[in-house]
Order: sequence, then C-alpha cells, then structure tokens
Amino acid sequence: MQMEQYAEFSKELVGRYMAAQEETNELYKKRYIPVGSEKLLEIVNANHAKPDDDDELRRFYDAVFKDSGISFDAIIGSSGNVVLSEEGKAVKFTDIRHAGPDYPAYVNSDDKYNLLINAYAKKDIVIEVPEDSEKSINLLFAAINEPLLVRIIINTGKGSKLNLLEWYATAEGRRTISAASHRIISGDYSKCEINMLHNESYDTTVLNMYDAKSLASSSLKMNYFYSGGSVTKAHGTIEAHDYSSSIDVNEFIFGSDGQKMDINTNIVNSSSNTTARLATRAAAMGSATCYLKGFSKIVNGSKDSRSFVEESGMLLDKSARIDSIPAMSIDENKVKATHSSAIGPIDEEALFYMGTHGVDNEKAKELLVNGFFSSQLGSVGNNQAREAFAAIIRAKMKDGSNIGKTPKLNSSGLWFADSESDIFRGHYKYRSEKDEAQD
Amino acid sequence: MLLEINDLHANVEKKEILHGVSLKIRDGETHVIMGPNGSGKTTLAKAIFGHPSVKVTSGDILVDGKSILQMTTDKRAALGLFLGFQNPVEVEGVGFVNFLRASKEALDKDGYVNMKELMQQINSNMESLKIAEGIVGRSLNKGFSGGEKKKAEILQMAIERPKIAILDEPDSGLDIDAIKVVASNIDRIMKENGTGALIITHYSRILSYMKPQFVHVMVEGRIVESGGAEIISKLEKEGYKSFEDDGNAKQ
Repeated sequence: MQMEQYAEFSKELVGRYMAAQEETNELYKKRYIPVGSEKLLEIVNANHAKPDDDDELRRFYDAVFKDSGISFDAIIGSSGNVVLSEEGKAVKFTDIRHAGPDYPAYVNSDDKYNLLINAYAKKDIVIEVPEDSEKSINLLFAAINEPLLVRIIINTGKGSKLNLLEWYATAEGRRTISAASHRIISGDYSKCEINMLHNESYDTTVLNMYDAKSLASSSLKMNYFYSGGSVTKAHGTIEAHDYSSSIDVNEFIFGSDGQKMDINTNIVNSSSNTTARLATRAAAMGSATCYLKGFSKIVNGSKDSRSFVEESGMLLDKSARIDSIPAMSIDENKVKATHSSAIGPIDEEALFYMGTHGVDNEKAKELLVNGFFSSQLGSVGNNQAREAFAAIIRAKMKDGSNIGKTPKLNSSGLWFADSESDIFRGHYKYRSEKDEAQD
Repeated sequence: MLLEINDLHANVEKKEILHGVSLKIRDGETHVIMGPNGSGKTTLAKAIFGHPSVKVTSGDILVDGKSILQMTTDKRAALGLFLGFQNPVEVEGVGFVNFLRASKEALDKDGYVNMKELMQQINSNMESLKIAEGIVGRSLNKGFSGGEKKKAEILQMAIERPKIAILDEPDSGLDIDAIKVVASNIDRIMKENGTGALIITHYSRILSYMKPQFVHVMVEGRIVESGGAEIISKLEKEGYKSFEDDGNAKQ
C-alpha cells in the first residue's frame, strides 16, 4: 500500500518535471531525443504477465553465461528477486527509502527519469567496499517479465579497490524499460573502476542516470558501453570532488538498426589539482542516431586542474547520424583544458587498401570499427567488459538487428591498441626524456 | 598467370587519364613502367584493382583470359594480384600483425592461419628487410617512417606470395641503402614464388639492382615505348622529353 501511494505521488511529480535539465539547455535543445513520461509510465503500469521467479532468473543467467562465459556474482531480476553466488553476498540489497539516515535521499529531483526510478524501483543495491580491501564484482541485471528499475549506491572505503561490472540484459518480445540510477562515492585514496554494459533487446528503453564523485587522491574510472535498446537516454555528473582526485570516463557507443542514443555526460573539477577526462567514441550504421553531449565544468578555485573532453564518431553508412557537442565552462584561470570533436565516414581508402590484400568489405569494416574503438578499449581494465563489447561489435556488424544478443566472447586475435590516449601527450607525466631534451 | 590490359581507357573525376593502355604480364616476368609525374601510372595500378575513383570507360583487364572488371577488389587480390602502395594508408587501432593475419586468412583457401608459422615468416622477412622490431606491435602503417612503410609493403608481398605484384614506386623516399635492400628483397620474393611484377617508378636507380625484362614508358596516359633495358639508358641520357615528343607525334 505504501508503495502504491509513493508511486501515485511520484507520477504527479514526474508529470510536473517533464522538462529535464537537458531539455532547457540551449546548447542541447536541438539535439535531444525525447522520451515522454507518459510512455514510460504506460510501460511501467502495463499488466505484466507475472513476476520473474528465481528459476527464470537462473535460466536467463545460464543463457548469458553459456555464450559470454562470464560468471556473475548476483543476478538482479526486474521483479525485485535476486539470485546470489557466495561472492555475491558481499552486495547488500535493501530499500534505500526505508533505510534511515545512513542512505540519505540522493535522487536529483529535477530529473524526471530519476524520479521514475525512485518511484518504481523494487530493489536497491548497496555495494560497500571496506577500507584497504579489494573487491571484484560482476552483476547481471535482467528484465524478464517486468521493467527493470533499480537504484544503486556504491561507496568505496579509504584506500580500497573496486572493479565492478554491471551487465544489463532484457528478454525479447516485450516492450520494457531498463533503468538504473547510481550514486557513487570513491573514498579517499581508493581506486575504483565501474563498467556498465548495456546490451538490452530492441524492445527496451534504456535509462542510465548517475551521480558520482571521487574524494581526496582517489581515482575513479567509469566505462559505459551502450549497444542495446531502441532508445537510450543517459545523463549524469561525475565529479573530481576533492584535492588531487581524478576521474576518467570512457564511453563506447555502437548504434545500428534505427537505434537512438542520447548521451549527456558532465565532468566536473571541484577542487585543486584534480584531473577529469571524458573520452567518447561512437560508431553508427543503419539509420542509427547518436547525440554525444560531453560537458566539462571547472569550478572557481580548482587551481592546477586539468580537464579534457574528446568525442569522436565513425559513420558506417549514409543513413546513420552522429552529432557531437563537446562544451566547457571554466571558472578558474590556472588550469589546462582541451576539448575536441571529430566525426567522419569510414575511410574508403582504408577499405580499398584492405581489399587489395584480399580482405572483403565486411571484414574490412569490422577491422576498422574494432580499430576505431581499440585504443580506447585498451584503457578499460576489465577484460570481460572490453572483450564483450568487441564481441557485440562483431555480432552487430554481421547483422545490425543483432541487438541485445549475448555475444560469444572469443578474444583470439583481438588486438587492443596502446592503452594511453594521446590527449595527455603534452602533460609532463607523459613526456619522454627525448621530448624534454628537445625542449 | 597472365594479366592482360587491353586498350584501357579510364577516367578520374570525369577526366580521361588513361587513353588506351595495353600490356601483357606473365608470372615470373619483370616489367617496369617509367614515366613523368601525372602520366597515369598510379591510375593504371588503381584501375587494375578497381579503385572506386577510377572509372574504366572502355577496354578490358583480363586474368588468364577472363575479365576482372566486374570483380570486387578483394576478389581480384584473391586471384593472386598484389598492389604495393606508393602511399600506404595509415589505420589507427588495427594491429599490423592482426591485419597480416586477416589478409592471410582471406587469401588462403582453407582460411586457417598457423600463427606460429606466420610469425616466423614475419620475423625472417623483417630481418631480411632490415625492419625495426617495433612495427610489429604498432597500428597498420601508423607512425611508420617513409622507409618503414615501403618495407612493410614488401613484407606483405612476401607473406601473401602473389602471382603478379604491381609495385607503385617502391623506391620513392628511400635512401641509397634502403633502395638496395628493397630491390634485393623484391627480387628474392619473386624468385622464391615465381611472381611476376609490374614496377612503377620515376627513377632508374632501383633498376640497377634488378634486371627487368620489359621496360615501358608511359606519357600522358599512353604507353609510348616498350622494349628492353636499353630504354633505361636512353631515359638516363635524354629524360622523358624525347618520349613526350614521340607521344605527341603519335597523337
């Protein structure tokens, strides 16, 4: 009863906040994929055949495991049920709304998607990594019979390490939602890598919201992989919050078969001597549309900070569209900041070159797309995530409608280029002795 | 294998570049085409492989009597044709060895590549071509020096073992020692595999290390002279001027 009341209350709020922040931003207004609240509420409130049961979850897991070979520590179903392995018991599942002062409200009330998730989430997930400890966790999120709406809180303790893989998948043949709202805090001196891989079926609307910050001297790496669903809306803020912290955000986007992806990522330097980096790579084919909206903010007082935004896109055919709008707002003088954008069609000369060596057009395109993502994939520490994405690319290149199919991971022959992006080349840390001598 | 080019006319951006080129090249034979800048040598090489910017308007290209004009580029390569590029394209993110493997898989009939054998072939040819080890771990042609690019093309020729190789200026941008290395390796690979070659060049220096049986002079999209090595001496003495005059006279 309490849940129903809450839902009713939130429905009203969702309607009131129809205009999300990005809809009112002049810069992004023209590059905006609308997903109406009414449509989302209709899916959420539709009569779903039955809740998922644990056996269904296990069967779903088996299918994903069979092809990907990835073992997951926990499977979170859309009906709120969870199947755990022994390792998965490190993850807490609770309802944040009733958890008391330890988990204060974190949802951005200006954002209709966060409000929707807040209203309808059936399970909240809390991952806490104690001080000076190390955890590696794989989670499978599965929307089988109902829409998936989850809230996830991640706190890493001082000096700890976390490597997390979140894999999102949905059953085919039913209009559904895969929505997650994250609040992430990377504790002092901690090292945290979070990989979110969205490989939902075509019938899915994907919503990925997040609010993350790294505390003093900590390093937070966020890797987003978007390849599933018919419409993807992602937005959030990642903040280098305290002195000497760093955030490193990698986005990998591959659209096909009319998919629409609207990705708005804000990186913020809020303290001195912080580093923020956002690198986005998108490839699109088959009438897919991708909007890349990377935004960097350097707050007044964040002296000696560095911020880099790099967006690049590859168009595999004339029907696809990628719009890149990198932007910066810098309120501090003593900083280094760059932003860049490059979008172009697949290199016809490279296709010809490969053809003269016997490589047919299809394989050549696959090599070029892999190559396009390769240097950035090299900076992803989680092998399973990067190999899964490379396998998804292969599958979609063969047939653009292969959306949401679990890829067969086969890394033989896979080549990931040098892991370091060259956007830091000018920085003293990355300069060779030869460069110094030349100066 | 017999590669025949019969009265080939071809346009680039609606402008006719090749005005009726005819050539016959058999495996095992070494042909050289020399000509001034803009004479259509590279366009001819691209036409043989079906480059999308080159439109063949009349004439034919045949391999063992069958026209290849309707074939895709990769199918032409699968027949045993190889193109060594004047300016090989740089491809970031595609590993050099990974590409050689993909190429080998495509060209080998059973599509299986023994990686150990492939690496042995790569290493021995790298040694022979005096290529620094570093390029193996790099992206295809990315950041290669001019010399490394040329040598990498010859390395690919050694791995692919074509029946006929079209080598577009394999000597341009190379120093004297590198020219010697490249020429001796082309010669070696041809002998090892019975490969025929059509070498496109501006200069006679590389030919002092090779023994071409046939030399053709191309001027303004036409072969204006064909013969043996004696043409090279004539070119060294008189340059292309006399052939240009011949070409005009023939027009």
